[in-house]
Amino acid sequence: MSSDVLMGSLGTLALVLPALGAMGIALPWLLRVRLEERVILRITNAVFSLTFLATLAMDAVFLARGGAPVEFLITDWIALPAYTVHSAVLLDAPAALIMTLTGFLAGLIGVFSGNYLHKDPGFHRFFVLLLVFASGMMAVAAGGTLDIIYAGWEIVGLTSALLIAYFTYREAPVRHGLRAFAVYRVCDVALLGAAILVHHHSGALTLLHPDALPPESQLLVGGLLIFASMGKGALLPFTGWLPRAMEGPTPSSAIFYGALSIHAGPFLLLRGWPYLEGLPALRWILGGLGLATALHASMVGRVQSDIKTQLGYASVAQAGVIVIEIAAGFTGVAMIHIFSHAILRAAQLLRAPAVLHDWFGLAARLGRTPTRHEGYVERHLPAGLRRRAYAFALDRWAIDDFGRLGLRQARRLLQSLDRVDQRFAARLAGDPAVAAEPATASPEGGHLVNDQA
Amino acid sequence: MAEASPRARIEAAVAHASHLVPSQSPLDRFVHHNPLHHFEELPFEVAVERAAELFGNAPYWSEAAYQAEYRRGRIQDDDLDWAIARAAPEDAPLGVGVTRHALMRAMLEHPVAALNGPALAWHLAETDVLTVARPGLRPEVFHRLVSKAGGDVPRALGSLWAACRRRLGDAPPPPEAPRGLRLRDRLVDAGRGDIDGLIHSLLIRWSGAYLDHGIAHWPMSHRDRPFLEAVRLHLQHGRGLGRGWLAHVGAWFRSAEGQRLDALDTIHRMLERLGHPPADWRAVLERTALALPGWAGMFQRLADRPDTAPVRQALPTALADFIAVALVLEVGIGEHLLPGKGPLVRRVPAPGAAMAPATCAPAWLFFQIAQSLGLNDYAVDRLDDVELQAVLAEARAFDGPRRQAVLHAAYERRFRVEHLDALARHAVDQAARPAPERRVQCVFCIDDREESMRRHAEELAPWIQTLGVAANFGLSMYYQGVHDSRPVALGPAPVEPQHYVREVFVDAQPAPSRWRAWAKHGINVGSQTLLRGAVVTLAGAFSAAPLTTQVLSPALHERLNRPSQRGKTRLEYEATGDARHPNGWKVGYTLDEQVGVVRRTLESMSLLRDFAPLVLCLGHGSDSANNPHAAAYNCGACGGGRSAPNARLFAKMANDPRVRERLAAEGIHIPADTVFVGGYHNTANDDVLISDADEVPPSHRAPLDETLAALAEAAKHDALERCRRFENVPLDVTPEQALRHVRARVNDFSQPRPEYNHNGNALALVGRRAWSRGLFLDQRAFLCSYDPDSDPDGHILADLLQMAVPVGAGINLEYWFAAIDPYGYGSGTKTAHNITGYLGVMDGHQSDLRIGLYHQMVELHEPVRLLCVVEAPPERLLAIAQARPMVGRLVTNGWVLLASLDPATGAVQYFEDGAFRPWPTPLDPLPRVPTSSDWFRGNRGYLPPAQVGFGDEEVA
Amino acid sequence: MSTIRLDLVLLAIGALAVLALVARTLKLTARPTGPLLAAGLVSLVGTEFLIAADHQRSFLVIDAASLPRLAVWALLLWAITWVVPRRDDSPALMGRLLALVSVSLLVTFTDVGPAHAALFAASSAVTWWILPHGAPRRLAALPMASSALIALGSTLVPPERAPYLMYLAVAIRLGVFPFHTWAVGLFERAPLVLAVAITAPLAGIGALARTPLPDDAWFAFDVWMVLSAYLTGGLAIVQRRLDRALGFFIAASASVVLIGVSQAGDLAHLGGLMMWGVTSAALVGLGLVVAALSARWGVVDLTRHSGLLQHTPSFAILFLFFGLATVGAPGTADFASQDVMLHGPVSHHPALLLALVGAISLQGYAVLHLGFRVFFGPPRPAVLKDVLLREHIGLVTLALILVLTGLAPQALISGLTTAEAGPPAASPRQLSARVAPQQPSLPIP
Repeated sequence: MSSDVLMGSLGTLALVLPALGAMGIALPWLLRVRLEERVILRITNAVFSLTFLATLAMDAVFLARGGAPVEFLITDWIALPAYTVHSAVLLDAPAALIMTLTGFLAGLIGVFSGNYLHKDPGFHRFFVLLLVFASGMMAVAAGGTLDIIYAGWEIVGLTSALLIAYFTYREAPVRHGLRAFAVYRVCDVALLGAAILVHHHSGALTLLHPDALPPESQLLVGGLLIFASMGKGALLPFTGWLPRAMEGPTPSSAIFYGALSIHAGPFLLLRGWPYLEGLPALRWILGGLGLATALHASMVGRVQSDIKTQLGYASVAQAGVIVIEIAAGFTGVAMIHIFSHAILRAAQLLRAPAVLHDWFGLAARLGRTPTRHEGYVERHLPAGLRRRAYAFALDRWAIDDFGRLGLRQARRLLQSLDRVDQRFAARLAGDPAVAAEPATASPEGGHLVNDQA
Repeated sequence: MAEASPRARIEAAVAHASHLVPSQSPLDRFVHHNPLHHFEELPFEVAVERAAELFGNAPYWSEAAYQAEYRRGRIQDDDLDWAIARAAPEDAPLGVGVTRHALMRAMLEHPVAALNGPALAWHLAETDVLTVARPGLRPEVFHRLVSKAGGDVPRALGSLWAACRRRLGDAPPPPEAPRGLRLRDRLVDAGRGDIDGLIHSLLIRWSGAYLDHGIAHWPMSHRDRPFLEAVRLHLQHGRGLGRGWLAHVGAWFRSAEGQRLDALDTIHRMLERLGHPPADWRAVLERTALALPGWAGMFQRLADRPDTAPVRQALPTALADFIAVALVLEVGIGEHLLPGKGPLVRRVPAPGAAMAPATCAPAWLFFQIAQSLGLNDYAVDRLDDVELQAVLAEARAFDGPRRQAVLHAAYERRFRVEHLDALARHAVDQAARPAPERRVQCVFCIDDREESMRRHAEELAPWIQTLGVAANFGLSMYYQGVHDSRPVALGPAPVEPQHYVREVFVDAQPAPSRWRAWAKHGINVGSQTLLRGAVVTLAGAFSAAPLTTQVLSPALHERLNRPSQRGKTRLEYEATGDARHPNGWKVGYTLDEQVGVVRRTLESMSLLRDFAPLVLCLGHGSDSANNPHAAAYNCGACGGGRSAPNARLFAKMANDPRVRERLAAEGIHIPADTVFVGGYHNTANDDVLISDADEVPPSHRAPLDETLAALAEAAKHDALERCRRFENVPLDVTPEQALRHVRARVNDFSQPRPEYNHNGNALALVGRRAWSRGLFLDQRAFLCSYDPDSDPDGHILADLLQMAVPVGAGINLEYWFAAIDPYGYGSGTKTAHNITGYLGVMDGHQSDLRIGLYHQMVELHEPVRLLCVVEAPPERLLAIAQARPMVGRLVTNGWVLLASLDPATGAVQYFEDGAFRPWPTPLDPLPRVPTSSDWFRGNRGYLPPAQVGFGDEEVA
Repeated sequence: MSTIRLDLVLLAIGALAVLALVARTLKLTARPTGPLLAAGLVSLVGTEFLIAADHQRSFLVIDAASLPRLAVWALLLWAITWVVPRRDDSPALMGRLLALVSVSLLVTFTDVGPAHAALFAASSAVTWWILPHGAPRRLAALPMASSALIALGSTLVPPERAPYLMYLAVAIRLGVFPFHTWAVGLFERAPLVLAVAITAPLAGIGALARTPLPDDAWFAFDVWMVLSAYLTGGLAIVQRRLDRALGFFIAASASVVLIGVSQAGDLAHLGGLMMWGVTSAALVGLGLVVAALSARWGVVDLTRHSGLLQHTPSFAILFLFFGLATVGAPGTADFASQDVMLHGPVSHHPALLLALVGAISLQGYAVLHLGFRVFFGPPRPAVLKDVLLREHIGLVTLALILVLTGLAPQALISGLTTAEAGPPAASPRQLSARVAPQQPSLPIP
């Protein structure tokens, strides 16, 4: 067996195993069998151990090969005379890095959550979603075509929304899960568009061959990839969903918004680097986005008084820095940064509930109570400006309002269309009750509820 | 009085609201208290229902939950009958042989499903309600139901349903139209959405910023001014891009700048703009505060007790400011939503159609009841219209909340019967046994978790006599250990300590390696900034190793990160002159004060003679690695601190010859060869440690070592007994494995249940240990030592009850309410908690500050009110209830249940409806087992009492 | 003769479905058994006759478009009659459903222009007949009649003009914007299952399976459909009751599928056909979930969270699954069909592609919005039973088929392509890149 087949098989194994595990847990539901927690944990741990081992073995082969990338065809998923959808993996340094990271962190989070969510009513749901998410993340990392990446991308988005809304009996998580999903959907348009464009022009697998595209399509694809990465990477102006995503259980916050999902955006840029490399205009725009996001997140993060939001903004700030690194062409640095930042932030988020312990422990060692705001630079601002800046930061630069402006008009338009339609139907069908029904809630009423922070 | 000024009215209304908001301290000073503290003037049942309505919480468990308890035998038939008779003292015939009690009984045994409209039609079409009789009917009832139809169940049910339908129809009564009070409520009724979401999103952000004790890098400015003022200064520039209402808020704040309005004036202006009549003010302010009870409560708490804040800051918090800001925001949104003139509440459009609540269609209700009662269609037809309506009215009146109340009463009674029977029986058996030898006395906290530890110690080493006392050991002090960055209060929560005690190193101790801590701090904080963060996070891969060990092997991680061994220390507690701590506390205790402390403490545990040569005094506390509520697991008598220093200091004082001399003069003779040793029991991992071991005289070393060995063995069994509650520990572990498990458990940062704390607490025994020794009480009892012989005038008992009853009731009632409604009275699930401002936790991203116990802490708890059994004659107890209103109020209003155990005979009397009534001693013997393990092995749930260690003895 | 073998497999599925139906109806009431058996036999015998005819072009044909349709129809009919709430279940309903299916099948198997159009017109009349008397029928009369008339009109114009009219007729029948009023109105007024059975299988598309839209019309038509997809998708989100929202959602899906189908002779046409089969199955699943919920709970109010998850967790999962299966969620058959279908619009203009993808995205959001509204949020006190065994079997079977075809879409495609001799005739709109695709160097294991 040649080394690329070996490596490809290992990569495929890492991609498929978690999904199989998820099916192993979800299928009994179809037969109305409720698995015990113990069994679920055993499946999860076994799957993640194997996955992690597979990624490690893959890394070993990869290094032994001297770092040459492998394109490996799993199967012709759809084969038509003039059209093929391959399911293929592309294993290179960024892929190996993210896959190893996913195997490692998902495994640890699985073990952690086994205790943390013990006896929780959503225990089953959490582990199914975690396993599905791991498969999706692997697909994003290893996808050899944009179609596969898009499939993984969708799965990551969907599991993310469902895990944000994990505590379904409260309204805030549900609202925020939906909000995150809305942002994902907007940006997914770009990724699916890019995938179809690339696919259409090249007929098949061309992640590494942007030359197959006509120049104007190259620019379009590059632009679409940047737009696509803005949602998951929480770049401006989409940052608002990320702090709100801290609604799920702590381990899911850690793996999604500290470690993996947030880096899917920058990773996509690494993946699409061949499309961006030769287009300085796009790179300048990207760098500007990264810089604006980093500044925004660090300024807003500084005034947050709860630990999870603070860590959320810290993650975004670093995602912004990583994007700048990519735009500047330091893809190697960006890769290391993603890897390191993911692990550190996941560890910090997992320890977030222990922050009181840590604080007092630190106090004991220092001999006094440490505060973070001893050396903050903003105190040098004049008082009036400082107040304004503070209010601006606490208001999160009012970025949430940008999105609302157009949505509100659209909503009003649709609601009046709907009223016209109902009146028309009532007249046609001749039911007076519906015709007489007043235009119940004002258009404001509905959106107010939905727009809450 | 009739015409108070608006300002005074508002002030009174705010004061009223301040009682209703929760009074929980910041997390590190978490102390158990009754969440309905303000309602203690009312009888318990009344208060429960009134509070449930006010706070929107559940008054009791759901009916289904109680019915499950009924099915598994936790509630029994005679409990139901008792509870029904109590709820409806008069039975009355209702027609065709049905009586009121029978009807109630039928409705309690079989859940009534409230169906109407489409749901009812669906059930009739898709389920077997018309073909199979309700499950669990007694044979004679079933027979009555189907005999006329010749045993053909579908036919019998079909004609019964037809009869019900013919007589009653299936139109449910129309729902009532809603009527809201606040502007927000009226907008909700009018179908315009819930503006509280908007108000709160801002209010929470600014409250969090204002109250933050050190999480944010950049603190809010002007925090030395009241909240309203500080927010005004920040928001007056607000234009509100895309949020027009912020412009209204900003405009108001700008206009308020020159007017020097304080919070009360602002509230007044806002109430006028809203258009609430003065008669509604109190209710409006109350509900505005209760819309975010946690944050409102924290403003109030920090105003009442600024010393409980984790960092001393000059935050002039006041509830009025909080309410004022909330109202300003509400008015701003109102102005935006409802443009126009005049008071805002009048601009709200009329409410739309009411949402139909789940009322039951009359025919369907009757159909279900008829089955439970065994009424067939003939019987239904025999009822005349008046009777039929009477039955229906009775059934309607016995609605969900009423049924829940009755079921709960039955649920609590079962516990009471089981345990009072056991105590009465055990007292008789125990009187016949010889007193065991006494070589060592171990003093534990009265805490329910120590019950099992004491039992196991006595089982394994019968020569140990255990005593129970509140583990603050009569001390109330600010204590600063060598590793503490600031003094913490160790003493009963309601009292602000006056003394300051410090722990110091005796020999020169090298300074702890501060650079490591600084580096850790620097990395942690730096990783959250932009530029430093970029550097730090680039190296973050190194945190993979600690992360892995933390998750995969907490024990290994703990071993690698354990701080270096501490040196020898001593307490500085002798008052020298009139020295004062900068915060104004007295430094140390004078000799007089020391004597007072020792005497009071010895009195309160009735240890005034018969001292053993070795008296071990154990404080307690609990370790955990990832638990914002850790303070709730520590010693309740020390206000959420670990009571080891109290035990240590008490032992020091009691060993002091000067103190003993003075005590002897007061009539308490401590033999010269009696040595007190302080110590600490960690209830999470069952470690037992002692302090100042080097000061124990050589003569006492051997007994001490022997005692410690016995306690170590007891700890293993205690761990075993506790492990059966942990579902992920197999039931067949050995004591050694159990101990290993609990040790690893406390260091596991993924573990939301380091231990189960006060789960199950329901009993308090005040009396000699002899009455309860050898009785398996399943960690459910607070055990208070009290000897009536040494208290002829009853003042010791009065003091003891004054201290123990409110503390026990606080713990018990906080558990009671959190177990009933973990999301309303408790803080919901721990897995969503997000620490904010080092003060409290929110759910997820932004929410109210969550107050109370979290779900994982109370999930096993049985909500049963505390049953206090006191070894004293009833007359004395009544006199104490009269003289001490704090105790009397709780007892007479039923917040705490009381029973008396006769000191001479062991006969039990139970206090009910204002009087003591004899509780007959049961004739049946209790189950007997050689050791506790024989009783609890293989069981996870709560177990009834059993006699332990009686296996080989013959008892009369 | 792989074609025949495939046909036999499909026939077996059809036979199984019919048997299952018979079993179910026997248990219920005997009256619909007759019509049911008849319908089953007609389709079986007819199919066999046609296969024996060895693909001779005749009045009725079995080909790429019609054959899988037979299986899909059998599946949908089975699913609907199996899951239908008993309260709505009556011999009359069964009979009408069967009439609907028979006519739809006939339309699907017809290939001669004028006969085709005439049958379509007849199907409009049948649809009108199956509606309950009164308001719904009045509401539907006008669009039904106009769609029938337009279809009939298409037989009178020159053959190259006929497709315009057919597309218009189908658009009216499927209730795309601005003809949605009647289709959505049904959801409020007719029994929900009936409304689902009429609209969710997107039956009218059968009339277009062999009728490409002429090239000079694609721009106007596609722009219209994209607009319709956005508006109906958006309207689904702002609804205050779930049944209406479902109606709009189906209209939005119909708009997207119509774009795919209109790309005649192209890769996208194939995608459109695939999407038609898959989407209609998923929409029926979704509709049945909503019908089952409405039967238990009455009208589901969307103005606030209902929190039904606690009562009906299985329905929550099924709702999200079927909903997402209509918008191309990975793992369902729609993902593959969408991938193929989108190649049509992109050859027109990348902007059209992005607009269409945006519309699909909006629908995806609508699914989660509706699902979260209905199932999440604070639970309300209610006596509400989760999925019954019967419903569970029906819905899970439907879901499993969607998943299996999603994992191996090639099977689905084989059914659509191998029946014809070669690849679909190349249309002028085809891009050169498709003819000579660049083959990357792939190590084939």
